[in-house]
Order: sequence, then C-alpha cells, then structure tokens
Amino acid sequence: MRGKWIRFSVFLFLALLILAAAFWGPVLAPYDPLETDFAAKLLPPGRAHWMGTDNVGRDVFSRILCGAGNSFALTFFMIALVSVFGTGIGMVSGYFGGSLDTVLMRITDILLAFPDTVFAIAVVGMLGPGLLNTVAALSFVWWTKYARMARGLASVIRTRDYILQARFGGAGTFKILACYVLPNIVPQVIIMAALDVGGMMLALAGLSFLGLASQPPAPEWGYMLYEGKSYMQTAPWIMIFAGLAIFITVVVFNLLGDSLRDILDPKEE
Amino acid sequence: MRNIKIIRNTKFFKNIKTITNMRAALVAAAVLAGVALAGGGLAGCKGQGASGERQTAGRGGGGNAQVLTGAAGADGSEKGQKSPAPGERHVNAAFFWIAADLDPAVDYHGWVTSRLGVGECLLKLNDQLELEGCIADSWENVDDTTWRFHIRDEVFFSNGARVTAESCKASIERAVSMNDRGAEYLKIASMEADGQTLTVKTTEPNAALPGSMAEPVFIIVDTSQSEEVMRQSPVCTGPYVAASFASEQRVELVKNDNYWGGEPGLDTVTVTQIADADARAMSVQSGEIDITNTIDNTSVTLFTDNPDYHVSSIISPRVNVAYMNHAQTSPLHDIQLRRAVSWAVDREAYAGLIGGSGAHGLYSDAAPFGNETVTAFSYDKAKAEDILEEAGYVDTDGDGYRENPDGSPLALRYLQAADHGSADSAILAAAVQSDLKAVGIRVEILAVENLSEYQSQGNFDFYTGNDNSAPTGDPQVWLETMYTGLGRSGKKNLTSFQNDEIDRIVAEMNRTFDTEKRYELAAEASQVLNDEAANLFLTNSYLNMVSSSRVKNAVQPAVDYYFITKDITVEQE
Repeated sequence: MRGKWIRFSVFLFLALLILAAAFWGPVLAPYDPLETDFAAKLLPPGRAHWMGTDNVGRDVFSRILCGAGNSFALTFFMIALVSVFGTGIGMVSGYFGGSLDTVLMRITDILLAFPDTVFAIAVVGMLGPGLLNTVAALSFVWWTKYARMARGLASVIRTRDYILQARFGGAGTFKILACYVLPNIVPQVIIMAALDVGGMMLALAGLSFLGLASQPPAPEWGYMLYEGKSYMQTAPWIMIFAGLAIFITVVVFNLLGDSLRDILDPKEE
Repeated sequence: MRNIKIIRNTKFFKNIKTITNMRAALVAAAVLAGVALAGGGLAGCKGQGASGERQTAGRGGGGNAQVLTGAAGADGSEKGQKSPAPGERHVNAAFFWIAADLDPAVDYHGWVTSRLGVGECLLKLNDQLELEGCIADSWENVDDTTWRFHIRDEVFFSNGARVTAESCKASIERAVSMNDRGAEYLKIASMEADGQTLTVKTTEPNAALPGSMAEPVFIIVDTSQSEEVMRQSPVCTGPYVAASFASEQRVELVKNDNYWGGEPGLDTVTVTQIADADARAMSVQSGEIDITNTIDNTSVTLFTDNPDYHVSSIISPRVNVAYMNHAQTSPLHDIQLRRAVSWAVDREAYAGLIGGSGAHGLYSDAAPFGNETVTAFSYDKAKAEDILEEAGYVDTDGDGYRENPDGSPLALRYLQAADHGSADSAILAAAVQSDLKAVGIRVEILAVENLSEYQSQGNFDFYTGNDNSAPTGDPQVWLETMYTGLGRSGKKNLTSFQNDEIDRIVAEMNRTFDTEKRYELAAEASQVLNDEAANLFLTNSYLNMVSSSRVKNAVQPAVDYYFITKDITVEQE
C-alpha cells in the first residue's frame, strides 16, 4: 500500500519537473529558439551550446525547452477534448441503452477501425498540413476508446440500487447522470487519460516528423527529429536530444499513469 | 506454377513497401536510431554497415538469379539487386527518380531515359554548356528559319536498324505532337529528310533551336515500335538498353551491342529509385549501391577523404530560387517590398549552409551568360529597412512585425516542398524566414507535398524551386518559360510576372543567331529581372556524384540530365 504511494509520488515529482521545465522553458532557455546564426551551424555540444546547434545555427537546448511547452499544451488540450467528449457520449449511450446505444456504438466501431495516424495523414492530405487539421483528424478517431469505457461503466452503474433509490428520491435524469453516474466514471477516465499522455505525445510527434502537424520554424520535438534526420551521421546531437526528450517524457508519463491506476483502480485491491 | 506465384507475391509486397514510402521507414529508423544512439553509444550506424556487407557476401552465389529479374526480390535481399555472373561488369546505381515510363516524349520522362544512358539526342551539351555533335555530327544555319543537320552515317538503333534523317524526323515529329514543351522549344513549320540530311524549317526565326535539340524530349527513338515498347524499353541509340522496367522502382540495363560510340564500360546496370537523399547516401555506405548522385553537400563530407569512395562535384546550371508572386492578390505585388526582401536575404551565408555559391540572377554562375556584368542584390539589412520605412511598412501594433502601409497585417506565405528528396529547400526556407524576421517581415512557411496544387491556385507569396536555368545550354528557353506567357508545360510562369522589356528581349533573341550576342541579351534580361526584384535568386547549387572506389570514370556532368555514360566501368576482380 505504501509502496504504491511512494512510486506515485516519485513519478509525480518527475512529471511535475518536466512540466515545470516546459512551463518556464522560454524563461530558462539561454537563446531565442528561433534565432538563427548561420556562422554557428552544426556546432557539437559544448559550453556555449549545451546540446549543440542545428543546421541553421539555432540552439538545440533552447529549442527543446521551448518545444516542450508546445508539445504539452497540445497534448493536454487534445486529451481534455477527447476525454470529455468521449465520456459524455459513452455515458449517455450506456445509461439510456436501446437503439441510441446501438447507433452510437456502431459509430464508434466504425471509427475504431481507422488507424489514427493513417487517418490523420489522409485528412491532412486532403485539407492541407497544419496543426488544426491534424488536431481535428486525431480527435475524430481518438475519443472512441473513452466512449467505449464510459459506456461499459454506465451500463453497469444504471442497474445499481443507488440509482433506483435516487430515482425514487425524485432525482431527474440529468441529476442522476451528473451526481451518481459521472462520479463513478471519472476515476477510470483519469487513469486512462494519464496513460494516454505518452501515446498522444508520440502520435503528435510522429505526425510532426512527417511534416503534417506543426509547421516550421516552431520548435517541436517531432519536427526536430525530422530536421535532424539528414544529419544523423554528421551531426547526431540534433536527433539524439530531441529523441531523448520524447523518450524520457513518454516513459515518465506512462509510469505515472500506471502508478495512478494502482492507487485509483478498486479492482486491484 | 507455384514458383511464379511466390515470385509474384514477393513482388507485390515489395510494391507495397515502396509505396508506403521511404519516409515511413525513416520514421522508424530515425526513432530507433535516436533511442539506440542515446542508449548505447554510436552502435547504430556500424551495425548497419556490417549487415550491408553480409548481404553482399550472401548474394555472391548463383549466376542464374540474373535471368529472372523478378526472382531477385525473392532471395530475401532488401533491394533485390541481382548477383552478377563471374566476370560480368555490373554496377548498382540509385536515381532519385525513375519515371512512370521511359517514353522520352512524355513530360520530363526523357530526362530519366537520358540519365540511364539509353537515349541520345541529335546534339549534346558539354560541361561548359557548349553544343557538341552526337547523333548529328554537324549542323548549320541556312537562313533565318532554316536549319540543317547531318546525321552521322554509322549510328544504329539498339535493334540494329540504321538511324537516318527519316527516322530522326519521325522521332522529333512525335515529340512535338506529344509534348507541349517540344512544340514550344522548336516552333517547327516543316521538316525534310533526305538521306542523312535533316532540314528543319521554323515558323519564325528560332536561334535557340540547336540547343533545344539537346533537350531529352527530343531523344531519337525508333518510332516504328509499339507504344508498349516505347514505354518499357524504348529503342534508342545510347550505350545501354532497358532490359526490364518497373515503374518508379527499378530499371535493369544491359549494354547495347549496336552502340555506335565504342564498347560500353559495363555489361549490366541495375538502377533503383531511392527518392530520399539521406537514404541514397546510406545505401552507398552500406555497399548496396555503387553509384548515385544528387547527394546533399552536408552528406558529401561522409565520403570525401575516404579511399573507399569517389566524389565528383560540379557547379551546375541549377539555381535555388524563392519565386515571388507578382499577382495583385499578393503583397509582393509591390516592387518596394520585393526590393526590401531582396536586400534582406544573405545569399552567401545560405551557400555556406547548403553548399554551392550565392546566386547573382536568373542564370546560374555555371552558365556562360554574362553574370559577371550583372548588378545583383547583396545582403544589406539597413537598406532593406530603409526601403520598408520609406514605403510605409511600419510596425504599428508593436508586435515586432511590420504591417502593410494601409495598416493591415502583413504575413507572407512561403510554400516549401522537398525537391529531389533533398533537405536544402527546408533549410533555405528557415533561413529566409529568419532573415526576413530580422527586418520585421513575418513569413509563414507551409511545408507541402502537393506543391503544384497550391501553385495553380496562386495560393502563395513565395514558393521554393530548384531549377535548371539553362536546360538547353541556351539562355532563351528558361527566360521564355518562366518570365513570359509562353510556358505551357511542366515548368511555367506561375508568378504572373509580366514585363515588356523581357518580352522584347525574348523576341530579339529569336532573331539573334550570334552566340555572344545572345549571351549579351541574356545578361540584359538578368539585369532587368534584378532591377524588378523579380524573384529571390538564392544559391547556385552543386551536383554531387558519389561512387564506390571500384567504379571508374564516374564523373558528374554539369548538365543534370546526363548520368550513366559509356565510360563508367568497374575494376575487374
């Protein structure tokens, strides 16, 4: 029991550390992440540039710090969007059941059949590259798993005695959903969302790598990987540090999600 | 029966692999390499090299593999190179592009047919962009509208048929009827064939005609062949013949036994399309590919000073350009803004970033068109700022970026597309963006795959281009294509540029048959374009060819529609 909490605190601390770096990144960064210096291109890591410089002489360390803010803001925004939307749909579907349930679940079935990255590539191919299009495409398929989970929970909860009692007590449908169904779904949603941070970051970084999400010169980890790809052999530091940033962040948030589940999930006990 | 099925299947999977594209593979490779490098030092690259060697060794046995091209993929080797028979002089080459078919009269496919060493034109260009005889050994200007070519007596098609003036006429007529560019270049009224003498009459004086005859759209093909043959294995006169062809994937070449210019240096060549420049460079390192070109300058350093490789570089007629939109819809319609932008970019520094040299105008410094007499823009930030202030571009809302004179926000849209699988255009875009930011002009880069779609909608302020400024060794064609309303196919004037002075110069070029005079006119046109701040001419680019040391006589020509020549050979083991 205590081990769980210790693990959770450690990962929470690490995650907060990363978030703090992201939040204060623009202040901490020693250089302007967009400032080019053609004379100082492709400098290896050293005292002046801790992580070296890229192909137009921008400081890699500053770009990674500032890129963190962009990546996190986008990731959290997307997760908030899809989890709220997905949970709402799933809850309504599970609680009311019947033909509404059937229709909504078939729609999610259809969307679940789309591989998210491929779908995003197709949408961007049609609508043109840009953050908005990518966000729209990813959200369009990403909410379904939240809907599935919320629906499963809601369809169980609605048969519980306390729902019946609430109804006898004069609670309306909206009140039942808000006060009795939703609070029982939220912990699961939070666990799922925490576990999703890593996946979402990877998806966004992957799309940026393909040049589909953030546009140059915005510092973004996935796009930095792409920029560094041509220099994999001659100036590997551009890729290494961007890759490391993604790797560490995804690992920390996945472990945080795991330990959060250990604490919140009643089934584990 | 079963065997055939298996071969087909593996081919099918190979197709899928190619379609899902190098990029997808590179995502995986990049992420993996990033993690591997981070975790365990620089083991990643070394491992790759070693596996490449193993592959080569594994391919050694079994001379029968070369009979079945399709079977090459079934032996499990990644790229399906066939194993040469003992004593066979074989080379694996990689191109950045293999066309959908090899018919020289279609689009720019002739450039591929020419690079393969399959097709030849009446004339060819040397590294100084001077015309030399090829299928024709002499040519003369009879009068303003008449040209006469003498076809070499001893030239044969690869099927053994003799090349006569009649067959050249049929081939050129076919190109003119099938390709808008062909019609535009020649302006032909009629052609007469008499024995080995081909007489060409034009509708108007066309002094640029001989140079145009060197453009690969006019590769001489045996027109008696079916369209199918024309697409898969055109019967031409070059040192090699396409024995098998897989659209946008691979060509197997065998030497042309009827070649007129001597014994070709190789028996067989496998040419594979590898679109991505980095992947091409790595394929040479792994030993999978013996020779390739259009390698970025930044990667060339991997091969220079290494006895295992040979690098051949030459400054080319190619120019990296940021084309500017002159249409009313674009803020760049204002010449003052164009001038300011032109002063604000540091061309020499860009050359330092991507290699090559700073451009001085429309034509590359590699072309002998009098660039040294042209006054060009240089880097002068203060001047750019003065012009902007004077023209009323000031920062009214204090966000660090200037607004239009009428107070509306100013943001220029820069379309960037990877050209020839190179990273250069992205670097240039970032550099231009940063230089313009320094003078307070906001530029938004849009990295696009489907550049032509955006271009045709006129939905841009800048677009990126890496273009051959002298595709026929003559200044007129490029000027006419990009700066008058005459361009009709492929490359054309998409920037709504119109200038009476340029129109006059082009008309005068038509009537000017003296080469030196033509060059003077070209310099004059360059000057007009610079005075107009027509486009951002950024850098003259280098072409780099990289080959393994066992390949001999691999020389990068200045003209980039040449690649495989009869001279390229391998050391016999």
